[in-house]
Amino acid sequence: MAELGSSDGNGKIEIPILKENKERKGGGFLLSGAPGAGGAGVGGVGGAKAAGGLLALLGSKAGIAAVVLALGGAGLVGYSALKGQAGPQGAVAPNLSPIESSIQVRKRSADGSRSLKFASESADGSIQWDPSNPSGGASQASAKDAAAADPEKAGTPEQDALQDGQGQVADAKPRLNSGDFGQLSQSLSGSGSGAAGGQSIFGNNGAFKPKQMQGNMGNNSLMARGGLSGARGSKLAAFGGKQNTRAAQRMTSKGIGAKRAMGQLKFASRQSAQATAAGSTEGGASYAASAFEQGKVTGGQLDGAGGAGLGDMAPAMGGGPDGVGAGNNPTSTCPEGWAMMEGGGCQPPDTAGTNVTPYQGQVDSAQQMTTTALILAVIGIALIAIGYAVGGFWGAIIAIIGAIILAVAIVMAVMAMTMGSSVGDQYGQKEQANVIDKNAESAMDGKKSDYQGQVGESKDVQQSTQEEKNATYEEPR
Amino acid sequence: MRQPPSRTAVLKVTAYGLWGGAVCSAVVSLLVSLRFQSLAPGLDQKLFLVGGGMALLYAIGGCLAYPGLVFKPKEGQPG
Repeated sequence: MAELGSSDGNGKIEIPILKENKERKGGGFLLSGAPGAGGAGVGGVGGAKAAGGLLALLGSKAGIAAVVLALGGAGLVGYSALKGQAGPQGAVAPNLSPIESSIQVRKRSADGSRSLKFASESADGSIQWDPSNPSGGASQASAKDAAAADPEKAGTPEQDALQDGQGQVADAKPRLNSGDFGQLSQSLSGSGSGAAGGQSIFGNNGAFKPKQMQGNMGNNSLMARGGLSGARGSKLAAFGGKQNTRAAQRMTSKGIGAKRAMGQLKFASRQSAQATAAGSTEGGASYAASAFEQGKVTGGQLDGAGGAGLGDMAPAMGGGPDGVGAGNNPTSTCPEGWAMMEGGGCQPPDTAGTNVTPYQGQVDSAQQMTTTALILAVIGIALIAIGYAVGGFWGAIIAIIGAIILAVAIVMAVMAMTMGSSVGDQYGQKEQANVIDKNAESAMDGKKSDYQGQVGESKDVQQSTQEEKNATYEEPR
Repeated sequence: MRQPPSRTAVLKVTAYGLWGGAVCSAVVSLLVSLRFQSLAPGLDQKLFLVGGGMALLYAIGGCLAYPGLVFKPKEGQPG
C-alpha cells in the first residue's frame, strides 16, 4: 500500500506526492495534528479520496480562501436563522392591500355583543351560580383588580361589560391545579372548589337545569305568541307537524249524487271552469281532480280560488279564514254564449243541428214519391171512374188518361218501395224500410197509411233523451 | 138509358191506357233516376230498372189487352 501522508512527529503535515491514481485509491490519510500519530496509517480505501481532495484544496491559496468564504457564509446563514427565531418584532408586516376587502365590519357597540347579550337574557335565571362561593368571588375580584392594575392585561370596556353580563364566565373554569384531568369532572359535578360552587351544574339539585331553560325559552319573547312586534303571535312553532296534521285531518272528499251521465258531465264542466278561474295552482289542481273524481274536497289546506291555502298560518298572518276546501266559486263564468244552469254548470247554446243520417235523403225521397203516388193514384182512379161515367169518345179519353196516371202512380209507389228496401239492405234500417213499404202499398191503393212504425219505442227514446238532457247532480252534504 | 160500352171498347181503352202508362212510366223512371242519382250509389240504376220494367210490363199488357192484336175477341160478346 502506498503511503499517502505521514507526520514527522512535530505535527507538520507532509503533503503526499500524488503520482498515480492507483496509489491514491489505495492510500489512507493521517489526522493532522494528532500527537504520536506519525506513521500510523488510518482509514481505508473510501476515505482516501475525500481526504486527498480536502488536503489538495488546502494546499493552494485559492482553496484556503474558498474554504474561508464558505465558512463565513455558513456563519451568516446560521446567524440570520437564529436572529429570526428570536421574535416576530423584527419581521416586517406584509402588505396585503391588493387583496384587502372593502367590506366594513361593524364593530361591537358599547353594550357589547347583541347576540351574546340576547342569549344571556334568554337564560337569565337558568344558570344559578353559588353566591356563597368565596373563591369564585375572590377570583373575580382579584381578576378585576389585576385588570385595573395592569392596563395591558385588562380587556376593553366592551369586554368588561360583556363579562359582567355573562356572569362569572371566566371563573367558571374548573381548577386544574392538581394537574390531573380527573379533577375536571370533580370540579364540574362534585363538591370541588370551582367557580360553579359546591353544586353540580348537571345534577338534580344543580343550578344548570336544561328543562328550566327550555321553559324559559318558551316564555321568551322570540318563541311566545305575540312576542314579535307587529305580528299577531309568532307562528314559527306553527310550522310544526301538528298544525299540518290537523289540517290534513279536516280534509275530506265527498262524492256528488249524479245518477245520469249528463249530471256527472255538468259537475265536471263546472269544476273545470272553476279550475280555470282558480287563482292558485293548488286550487286549480283540486278543482280539476274533482272533475274526474266526481267529488268535492272539503277542508284541508286548499282554499277557494285565491285563498291563502296555508292552514292555520293564514289567519295568523292576517290572511283569510281556515281552508274550507274546494267550495263554490262565485266568480266562475261560463264560456261566451253558454248559459249558467240552475244548480251549477254551463249549458251550451241551442244551435241548429245538422242531420248526418246517411239514408235520410232516400227516406225523404221515398216519402215524397209515396205521397205523389198516392195523389196520382187518386187522380187516376177518379179519371177512370169519370170516363166510365161519361162514356162515349170523351169518356174513353178521360179513362185512358186516368189509366196512364194510375200506371205512373203505381210505378212511383214501386220505386218508393225500392228505396225503402235499399235503406233496409244497405243501412240495416229494417223498420224504416217497413214503414216505407207500408206507405207505398197504401198509396197504390189511393189510401193514406197511418203506419209509422213502432211508435211506442220512439216515444221512449225521446223521453229518455229529454230526461238525460235535464239530468243534474246533487251537492254533497 | 145510356148503353154500357162494348167489350172491345173497354179493351181498347185499357190497352191505350197501358201503353200511355208505359210511356209515362218510362219517362218518370228516367227522371226519378236522374233526380236521385246522388242519393246512394246504384240507387238510380235500380230505380230506372224498376221504372223501365214497369213500363215494359205496361206495354206488354197494352199489347195483350188490345183486341185482335194478340188475342182475338169472340164476336157478339158484350164489353
